[in-house]
Amino acid sequence: MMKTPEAIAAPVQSAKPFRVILRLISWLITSCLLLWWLGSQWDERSGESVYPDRPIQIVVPYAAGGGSDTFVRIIQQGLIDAGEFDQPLVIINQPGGIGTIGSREVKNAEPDGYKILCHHNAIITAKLAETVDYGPEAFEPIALTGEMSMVILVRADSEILDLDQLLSAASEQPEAIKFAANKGAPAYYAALQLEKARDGAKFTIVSSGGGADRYTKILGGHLDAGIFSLSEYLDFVAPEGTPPDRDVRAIAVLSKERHESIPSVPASVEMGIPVVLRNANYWWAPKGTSSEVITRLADALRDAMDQPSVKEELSRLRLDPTFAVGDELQEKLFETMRGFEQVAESRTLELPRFDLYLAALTVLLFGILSLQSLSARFRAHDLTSQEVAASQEVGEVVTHRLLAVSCFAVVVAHVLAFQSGWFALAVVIGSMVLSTGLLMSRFVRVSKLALLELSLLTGLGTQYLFTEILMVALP
Amino acid sequence: MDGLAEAIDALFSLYGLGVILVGTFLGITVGAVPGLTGTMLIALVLPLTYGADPLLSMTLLISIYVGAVSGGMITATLLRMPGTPASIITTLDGYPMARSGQPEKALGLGVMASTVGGGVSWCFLVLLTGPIAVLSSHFGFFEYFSLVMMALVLIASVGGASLTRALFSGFLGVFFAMPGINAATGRTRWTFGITEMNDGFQLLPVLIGLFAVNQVLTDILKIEDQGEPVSIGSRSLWLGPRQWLNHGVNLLRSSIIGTWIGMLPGIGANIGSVTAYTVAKGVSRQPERFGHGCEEGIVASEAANNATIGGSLIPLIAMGLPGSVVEAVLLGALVIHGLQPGPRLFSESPDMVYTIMGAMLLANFVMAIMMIGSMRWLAKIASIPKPYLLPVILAFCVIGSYALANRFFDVWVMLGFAVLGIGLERFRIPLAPFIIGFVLGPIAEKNLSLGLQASGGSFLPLVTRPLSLLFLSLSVALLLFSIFGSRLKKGWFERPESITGDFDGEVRS
Repeated sequence: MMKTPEAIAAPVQSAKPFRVILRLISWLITSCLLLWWLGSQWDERSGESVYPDRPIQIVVPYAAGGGSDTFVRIIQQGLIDAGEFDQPLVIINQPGGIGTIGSREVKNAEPDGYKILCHHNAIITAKLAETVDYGPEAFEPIALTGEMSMVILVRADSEILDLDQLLSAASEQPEAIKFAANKGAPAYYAALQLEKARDGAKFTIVSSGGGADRYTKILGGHLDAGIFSLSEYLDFVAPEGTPPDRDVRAIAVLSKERHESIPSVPASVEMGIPVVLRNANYWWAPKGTSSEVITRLADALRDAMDQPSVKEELSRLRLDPTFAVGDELQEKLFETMRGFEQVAESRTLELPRFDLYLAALTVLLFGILSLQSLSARFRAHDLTSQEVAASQEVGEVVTHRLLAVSCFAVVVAHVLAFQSGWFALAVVIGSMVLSTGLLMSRFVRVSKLALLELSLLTGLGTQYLFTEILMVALP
Repeated sequence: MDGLAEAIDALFSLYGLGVILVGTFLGITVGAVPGLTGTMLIALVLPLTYGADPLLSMTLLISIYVGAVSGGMITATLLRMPGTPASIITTLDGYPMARSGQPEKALGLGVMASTVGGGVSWCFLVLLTGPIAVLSSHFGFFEYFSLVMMALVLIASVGGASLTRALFSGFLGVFFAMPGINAATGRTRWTFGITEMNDGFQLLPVLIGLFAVNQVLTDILKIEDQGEPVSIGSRSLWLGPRQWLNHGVNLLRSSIIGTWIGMLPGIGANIGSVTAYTVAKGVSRQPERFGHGCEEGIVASEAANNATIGGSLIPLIAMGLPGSVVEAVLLGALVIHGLQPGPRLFSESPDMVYTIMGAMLLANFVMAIMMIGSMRWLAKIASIPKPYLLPVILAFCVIGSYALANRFFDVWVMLGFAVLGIGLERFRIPLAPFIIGFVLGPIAEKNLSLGLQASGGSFLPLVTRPLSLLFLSLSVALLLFSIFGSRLKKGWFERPESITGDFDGEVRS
């Protein structure tokens, strides 16, 4: 049975009962979605004017599923359990640039308390490392919620038994110890502070990616020691009976006192080495947010931290449920910043400029490529008549360049409209599908009615998906 | 073995099986529709899995992958239009056989070969991943760097296109991966003062632009190009055991070739099927039948392209190195779900490793049953009019890029790379090396930089460490071979036989 193009192109006309049922179902879904959307539009119209009277957006400057994200979602649940706000709390993940993309987003937001940031110590180090030109001073701190202890790990068969020996080794043989700490991250500044605690001590500091990477490199003997979070250590430490070259040992907690979950590991301050590194989660609002809003948010966070479910979850993550606001918060922030700033002078191995070499190589290859095609064209000079024939043939196949360009232009126009924030997602997507579809239908006959339905379904469907299931923040 | 139990729980739950069914079906469908590829679908589905359970998300993506590589043969056989690049070789023999009145047999052979290819490579995946992961946990920074260098040279030299074009494409990929934060120094570069650039260009928008939008626009150019399918009758696609035995040797050989090619970093399913086809033709007693509806040709191509799946998952899981464009997306997917592929994945999240392996096996079976059971439907789906399909895909390209990080920057990046992709293809520059370079370049740079930090700035360990030296010399040899090798070969073929004889003599003496 050969199908004629018409039969393919016009499914409406063919009266197979199966097709009719399929179409009925899809119209039904579309109208349900339409009703839902109109209803949700109606809801937004009516509202009160006490803060918060619309959803509060919490920006997490790291990817969904990461440590920061998990933490914020626990607090979010705590806020809901405590019945703090009638309005929904929307988590927006804006990962990248060691948290600077998300932090810039909140720094530039309206100071109305509807967009706040949860970010840890990296907000301080990002400025010291000159990734961005602003630090904590560009925000209003709301509260400190939860701190993570940091430990120093070596391989279990290492000769280094405690922090004192580590520093002695580093001062007897400067740069012999390869120390894992990511440049520009809080751990890097802690490593510099450690060096400062002993005369002549010098590590070779190697940035080495995430916890799992660093751990592998320490096990493989490529690195000698490194700073890890307490929860990373407890994840990594091998069960009893593992040979020591497949296991790690904690030699110190960078803290004033020992941690209850690893009581045998001494604290750095106890060893007489005054280096403290605790990764704290801070909440920030844009500069200029009114003090009433800050207090309202801080109180809500305090209540959330008091929820038993939150306490339980945090202890599972090995986070200490510290809470600080006001002067206490300022004091803690100031102390942490001072610690980082006193070692902020940069001491880096000047690496070759790989990016420039690479750019040069790319340009060189481009040159070779152009030369090759030029010479190919030169050689093919005699074959001009064939070439013309070939290009005419190509011209016959590619007859719709204008169509492709106008479809692309339609997409760009719709992205601009979407970005302006004046139109709902459903409208933008629906109109985009309809207009590109209509453009294409000038060349391949399809039912206009089906196209209209398809665009409604796509537009409303994506709106539903984004706002109800994925909770993506729309402009 | 907790991980195994968890993986079995996840896979054999209602959701797990549902996800495999849906994923395989979607994969076969996009594979079958010319102009839609598995890479495209996986890149578009990935943003939707952010909030979902990591195990289920990976199951979905793997099922799509298996389905897409297999589905391509439907239109390759019935329409002479390969649904995916992996099935280009299948058109050579599949279409002639279908035209000569045996479409069911052509498809049946393809399904059988795909299933065996997937199964054989799955065995290798299960057997080899663990040992390779253990081996690679001994790799330091310099070894990783040299390994990645070898991968980059491999794509360029085996990529099929001219060496200069492939190399240029690869380096351009590395070039576009440069902006953003330098992992070794923590400093930003090439950001032109734009904060969004602090994070550089993300893989997903680049991929959606280069592959999906670019492909849609190319399809729009040729919008009337629908083709007329050979219709299939009611005969079953199931082939009896005699057919299986007849093709046993070819099946096994092609599957092993496919697995091996898949394992080599940077080379995808299409090269696997080309190689297996060439070898099958080479050892065949009737090589002249290839290209005219030969059974062995279909079997070789389809067994090999499915076998590359298992092969390419090995370096991804064991070392965190993507073997093809799809693997690059899967790598991104694992990272998004907070998992770092590499030697640690095995001991840290065995559940994920077993889920990936189990999903591949189950999807392979589901694919076979689905293809045999519903081929006539699938063949119809392949001819959905483009004005219905393409606008919806465009819409998903836009919102998929936006959903990645809730910012419009990524949407513009996506549109920009779509234009770049069209430009590159216009000058016959292949896109696959671009993506591999884009992913591997930063890995190479990071490892070299950290190695230098550890060695105090000395490059010497690159050649004093034995494994690193081995990888580097292999890559230099490969590069030299691909520059001069083709010229040499050409020379041999053009020369009279006596000279070849002399050459043999020289070698013997």
